[in-house]
Amino acid sequence: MASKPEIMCEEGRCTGCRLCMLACSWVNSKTHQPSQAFVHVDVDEKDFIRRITIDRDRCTGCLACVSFCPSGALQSEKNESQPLKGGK
Amino acid sequence: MTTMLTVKLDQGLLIREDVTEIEREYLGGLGVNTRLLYDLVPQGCDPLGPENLLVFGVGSLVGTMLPTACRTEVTAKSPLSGRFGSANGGGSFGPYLRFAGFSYLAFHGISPSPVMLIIEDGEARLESAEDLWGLDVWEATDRIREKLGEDVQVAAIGPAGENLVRYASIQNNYFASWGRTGMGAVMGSKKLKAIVVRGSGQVDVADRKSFLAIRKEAFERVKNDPSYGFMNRYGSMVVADPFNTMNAVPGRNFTIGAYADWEETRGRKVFEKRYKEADVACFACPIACAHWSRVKEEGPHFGLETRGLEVTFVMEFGAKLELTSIPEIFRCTDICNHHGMDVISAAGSVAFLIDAFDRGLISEEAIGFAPRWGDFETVSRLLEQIARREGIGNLLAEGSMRAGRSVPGAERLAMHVKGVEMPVKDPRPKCDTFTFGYLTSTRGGDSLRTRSPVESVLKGMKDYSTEPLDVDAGYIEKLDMPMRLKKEIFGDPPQGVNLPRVACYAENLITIINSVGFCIRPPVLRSLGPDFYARAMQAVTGRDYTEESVYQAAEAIWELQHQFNLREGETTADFCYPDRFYEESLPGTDGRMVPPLTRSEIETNVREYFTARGWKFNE
Ligand code: SF4
Ligand code: SF4
Ligand code: SF4
Repeated sequence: MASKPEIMCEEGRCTGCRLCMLACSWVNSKTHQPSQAFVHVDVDEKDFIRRITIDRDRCTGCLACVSFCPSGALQSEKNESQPLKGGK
Repeated sequence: MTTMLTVKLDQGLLIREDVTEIEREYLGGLGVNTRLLYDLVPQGCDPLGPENLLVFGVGSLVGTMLPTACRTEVTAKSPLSGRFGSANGGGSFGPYLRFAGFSYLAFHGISPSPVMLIIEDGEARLESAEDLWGLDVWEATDRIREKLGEDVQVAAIGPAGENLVRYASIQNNYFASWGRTGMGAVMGSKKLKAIVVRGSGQVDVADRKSFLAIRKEAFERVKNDPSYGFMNRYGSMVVADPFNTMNAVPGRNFTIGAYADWEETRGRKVFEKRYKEADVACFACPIACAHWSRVKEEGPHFGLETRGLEVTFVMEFGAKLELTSIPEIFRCTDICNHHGMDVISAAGSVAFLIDAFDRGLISEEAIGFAPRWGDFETVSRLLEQIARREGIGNLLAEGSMRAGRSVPGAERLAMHVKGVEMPVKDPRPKCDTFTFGYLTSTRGGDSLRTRSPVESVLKGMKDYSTEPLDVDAGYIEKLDMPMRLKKEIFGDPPQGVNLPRVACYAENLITIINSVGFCIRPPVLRSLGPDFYARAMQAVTGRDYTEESVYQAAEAIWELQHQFNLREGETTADFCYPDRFYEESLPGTDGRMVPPLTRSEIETNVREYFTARGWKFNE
């Protein structure tokens, strides 16, 4: 199996939009369920401190989160993500 | 199934209801709230009494990854206007409420003692909030999170809501708010301190394949709109400088239209260069119009961190009350966030007081000190007094209309329409859709329900009823708007913008947006219309919608709000600006005077608007 592409996180650029989490849950379960996403963004709103964590064991390396990230906080050297699929 | 949780606060009862059918007909969020309010709130009831209803309605597309689908509408009879009241908020409250299994919350009655509603993944319970009562929004939110976990969403009121300040807000966590028309006072009257939500469930879509295509289309349209970059860079501050150039800031309670030092002291570039640190977004929003900001210069506000700056804050505190320093404006906004108060009505009420004091209508003894324009001490002190109804704050907590009526000779200094203080922009230099909306909005003196997708910050009008066209014919052709309306509004070929008719369209469009839960910021407002929303709703909900059916639903929702207001005694005469706009000229920076508005011309526009709505204009 080819190794998973590396995802770089630059927390200072993260806006807290959670689009990465929405994208990840869609890819993996065809629904919107951020609690089940393999990428997690926590924002301490009072100080605007952002923490991004990726569950590397479960992450499939599809890069949907990277392609959805509007701020560039998530990046990868391989910049092509697989297109989102609808399923049934 | 779309689920509403009905909470009978007097009996402590929680009832789950299926509102799928109402949502089908009234689109979602604001639409459903409107129907419920019209049906369940008896005519003439006390907005702060047990018969009023407080509804939280999450937009029907919220929880999905569609761009900006995060918004929730809160609706009740307004204690400020005595009519239809409603406020819209972003943040993350709505999405997580849906992940917890609920789309609507309806609060009836009054709890015998302070409570909070806690919702955790489909389970709801009321708990005592006795220990939170009296705390400000931030303290209460911190306390709730210590107990229930950092990941819960909180909608809470502060001292202003508890003390029934007629324009109290409800805050989501720390910075987002449902600001206008006093929804926080209604929540306070019900002794409901907070709503706490934890949601880890899912929001599904009916037709995944179409949904993905629609998502892609929406992102592209929003990102390709020319306003996208500006919105991300400056947020709503993008219009702060143009309004000053137009001579249209609400300086000193709408008596000064522009400031020579505006751009150097509180314009958008100063904000960007000195204070802005990072972009902040609401849930599912790629635009990120909010900005994390920090005060780096030495002085009393050094180190202050906040989410700002919004054009509303700079116009209300920086013009209406003449604070010239951005850190002071940040601080005053924070006072409102902590106490849970609408910035516009709070600033409007303070401006009324200083104006009345300057004209000798209220004495220093009555106030307790001599209030001054541009004085941070004056403004911060009065804001705190209002929230706690202390001293003169008790009068100002009633709003400028009521305060004006109780001070002999001061009624004309209260700058409101239908009891609701007007925001950010003076109509005299250019009575465009934005400011015309103060008259026609069903929630009183406010612009946010009447923002046009062809809004322009160019100076001047062609004539009273025609705005200049600031876009080309190709733009109009591409605009997502029913064909029949394009001809009616812009002419064929497009020549100008028929103001009363575009106002009517803008209101209907925003009604759709507030029902599906998108944001009205320009990149969305300009690029997505009824056709898009019909397709998106069809894909997400699986129900049949068309451009026409969605547009007609919006008309019906607006009509119900109007009927609600008529039932409360509203008349044609209420569609009127304060006398100041008809009688006084407005001085600008270069010695120019902007003449007052002509009453008959405004009335002609209102008549045309009534015709467009199919309403009768009573003499
Ligand atoms: S790469 Fe794919 S699976 Fe991994 S976190 Fe991103 S979206 Fe999820
Ligand atoms: S999509 Fe990017 S900006 Fe948005 S929360 Fe995820 S990492 Fe942050
Ligand atoms: S544009 Fe601004 S207000 Fe609207 S959803 Fe995005 S961040 Fe929130």
